[in-house]
Amino acid sequence: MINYHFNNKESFYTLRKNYRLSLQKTDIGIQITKAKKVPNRNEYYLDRTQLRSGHITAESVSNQLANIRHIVFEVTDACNLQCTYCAYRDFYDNYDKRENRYLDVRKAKLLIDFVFEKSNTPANKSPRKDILVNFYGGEPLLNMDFITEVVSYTKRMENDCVKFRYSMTSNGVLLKKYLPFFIQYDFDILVSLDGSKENDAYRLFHNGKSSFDTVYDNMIHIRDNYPVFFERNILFNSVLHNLNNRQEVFQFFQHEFNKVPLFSKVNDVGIKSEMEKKFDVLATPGQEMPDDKSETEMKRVMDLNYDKTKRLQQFIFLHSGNKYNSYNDLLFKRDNFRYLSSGTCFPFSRKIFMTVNNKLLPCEKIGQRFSFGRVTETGVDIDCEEVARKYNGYCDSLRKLCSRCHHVGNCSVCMFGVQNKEDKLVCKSFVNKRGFDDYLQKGVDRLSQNPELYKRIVEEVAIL
Amino acid sequence: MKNISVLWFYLEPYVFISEDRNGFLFYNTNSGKGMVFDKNGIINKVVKYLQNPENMYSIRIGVKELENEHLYHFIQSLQEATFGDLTEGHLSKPVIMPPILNLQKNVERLKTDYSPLNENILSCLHEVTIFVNGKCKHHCKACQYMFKQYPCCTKSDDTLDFNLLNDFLYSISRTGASVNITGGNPFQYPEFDKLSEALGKMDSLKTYIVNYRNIPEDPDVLNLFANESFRLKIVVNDSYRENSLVTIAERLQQDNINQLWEIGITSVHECEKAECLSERLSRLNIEVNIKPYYNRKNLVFFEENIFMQQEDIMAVELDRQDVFALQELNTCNFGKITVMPDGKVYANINKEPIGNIREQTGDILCRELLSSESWRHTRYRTAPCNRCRFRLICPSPSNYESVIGKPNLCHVVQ
Ligand code: SF4
Ligand code: SF4
Ligand code: SF4
Repeated sequence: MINYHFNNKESFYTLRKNYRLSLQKTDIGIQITKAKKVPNRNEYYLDRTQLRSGHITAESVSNQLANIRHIVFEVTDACNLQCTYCAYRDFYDNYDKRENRYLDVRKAKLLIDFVFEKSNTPANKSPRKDILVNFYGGEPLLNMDFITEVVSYTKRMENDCVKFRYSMTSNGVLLKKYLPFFIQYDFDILVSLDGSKENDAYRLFHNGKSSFDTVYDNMIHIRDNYPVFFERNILFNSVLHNLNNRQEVFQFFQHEFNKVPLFSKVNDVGIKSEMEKKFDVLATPGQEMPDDKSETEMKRVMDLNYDKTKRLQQFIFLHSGNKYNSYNDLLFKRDNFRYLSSGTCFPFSRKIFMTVNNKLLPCEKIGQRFSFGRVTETGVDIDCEEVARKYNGYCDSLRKLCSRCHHVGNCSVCMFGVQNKEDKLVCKSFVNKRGFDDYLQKGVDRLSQNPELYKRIVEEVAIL
Repeated sequence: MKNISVLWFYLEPYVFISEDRNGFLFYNTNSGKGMVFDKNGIINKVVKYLQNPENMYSIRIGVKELENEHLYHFIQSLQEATFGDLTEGHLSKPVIMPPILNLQKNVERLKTDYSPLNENILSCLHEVTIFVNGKCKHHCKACQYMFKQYPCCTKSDDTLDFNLLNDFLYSISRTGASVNITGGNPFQYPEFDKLSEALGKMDSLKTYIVNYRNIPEDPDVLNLFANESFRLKIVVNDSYRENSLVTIAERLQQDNINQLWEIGITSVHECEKAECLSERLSRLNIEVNIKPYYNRKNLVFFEENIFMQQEDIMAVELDRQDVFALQELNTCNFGKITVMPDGKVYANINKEPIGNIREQTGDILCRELLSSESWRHTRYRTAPCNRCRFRLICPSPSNYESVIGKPNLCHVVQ
């Protein structure tokens, strides 16, 4: 028996076999003998419950709050479109009811003040930093007053050490109108567009009409009149579903705009159980052509960002034992380090998200019931003890599931996406021993088909 | 069993290869053992092939080829020592990922990406040594030497401004970096009490480094060191009377003072003497370090006792992380800075200053990260080490190299 085996302790996989070939020199030349050998399982033994028994402390949460570099505002929950797959629509049950509300700029400023003041304490490990302010919705352009007010407020706060940068996620319908402002403040704008008119047919106005022509015209306008801004600051996000596929979407953006969009899935967290079947049909992208020339072109244009290469990259990073984040990670031993269950990031380590209802969350992608604080009339109310307690509680509830899973130790799943079905936690990425062996073999196969990528990936790719 | 005529030979992912003009070093981070091979035609060819990452650490070898004595020995000894293994040649090629470091926040990469270098920069700070003054009434022979080799007192004319020092300490108060306070005689620092109060607010470890002759008689002054997060490091150099030192140690112990001792030596004779003292102090459960230092006259002592032989280097046991760390950073220096009484800040006291205490600490640290003078000064960066295969496992260059003025303190490469 030969297979690949992952050494969890040192995070690399290697070959394992239950026999040994030995060389021997004899009169008639080299002889090879084969003898049974029991693989030393101890070498790979890992107490998975132990490994994932990590907890966070209130103090570390408090320190993290001094190191925030990304604020996301849900500017409004209103939207001038009514896309079929939108997270607020029929499929989902995990969002706050949508009431066409607008975020109170006064309260948003309280959050900005909080982040800014915290940055002025020694717990901030980056004395000079850029803070990214992201405007998110609904459709943020429906609350342009908020955006201009926040930008002018933060610009006034800037000093030698703290600077602000801005970005926005938009459906692009109203973009043309406010363009000079966004150019002036160098906004990065992520425009949602799912490809050609046919591909984009789920993105509808309230009257049921397609939004494609309006958005497309706006993009052409920017491209032709502000080519530098278009090239540097406009990004596209395409949701893949049954009316499009990667190849078609890629072709569209390459040929229309000479750009590569980001691809994303339809959000599959919080689907109502009665809608699951319908959702699956919608969320499954259309058939792709295996040998399509666009696939080759995609590979060439996207290079290391090509999605299959990215999968290989993820495999290499998780299973080579070669990836370290920082100099400190090289310097200090993690022997007794205890990871949290799942692969969830530390609260507020990536960003702080303020909802239209003044809730504070560690991320805009998670269900809004996981609120870790709020902005009140007088200021930001985050109880670090409470955050740590809640967070550890979620980790604890997952521990049993994770300790049976073979991804433990190298999991990248966010626990807020793990579903609770009839009081049982269900993680879509859970694997048992056999599943993990298959997964490892698949990774190895992918690597053996593209060995030239190994060196490039380890030497060139930074994902931070 | 069918006759096998072709084999796959593969190396384990925990095996590193390094080479120089004369040969190869294979190092197994699972067992902490190294093996050396001379360069010769066929071995050269096989190793070159394995070193190419595209070949995924495995090579096809005809059984006939193994009749070559060198190749046979090479494969067999690597297999024997679990550096690699064999599978049948008709099976699919073993695909093993060779150890190549991917350091996400590598400064060299950040430089070209123009990413913010200063992100999290204060978390790189691990130890600060502050010379608060230069006043001292003694005349140790080692005064101008020892402090350049490891943290210990030295005389000078300046005194560090307390306000500047206080601001600086506040700026690093949440980094967890340990703080060493020394002088001259730090007990004579005009703002000694205020300084101790400021340090008391930090939860990191604080160590005052003083010569044994500068320990005050007044027990009240030493009260501070009964607190867990403070300790007194007592430096011994020059001539001393063992009994009186032991008496000091006993007195401090009675007062519950956290103490550790450091005895500087320059010769075998001093070393023997230090060992006697060390033994007596150890009996009191006191931590003692014996530290050789170079005094410009004892090169022979260093050559005979400190310089490394090949066996010394091969005896070093390292894991994968250690080997990677040696590639990218100086494991003795990284994260350490020194502040002199004139306010100048050094990453390494033997090199040029990297800033002044008046500046933002983060800016000073960024400057050091960008340069490769101290924190990132590795054996890979300077000759002759960068041409020596043992750089893979050889300890990072230390201050001894700087003060002796020789980049390699070994007998491996002359
Ligand atoms: S994949 Fe799911 S079950 Fe497995 S460790 Fe990650 S979160 Fe836990
Ligand atoms: S006690 Fe320290 S500062 Fe004073 S002379 Fe001796 S080495 Fe120099
Ligand atoms: S000190 Fe330099 S030359 Fe000597 S063994 Fe180490 S790396 Fe080689």
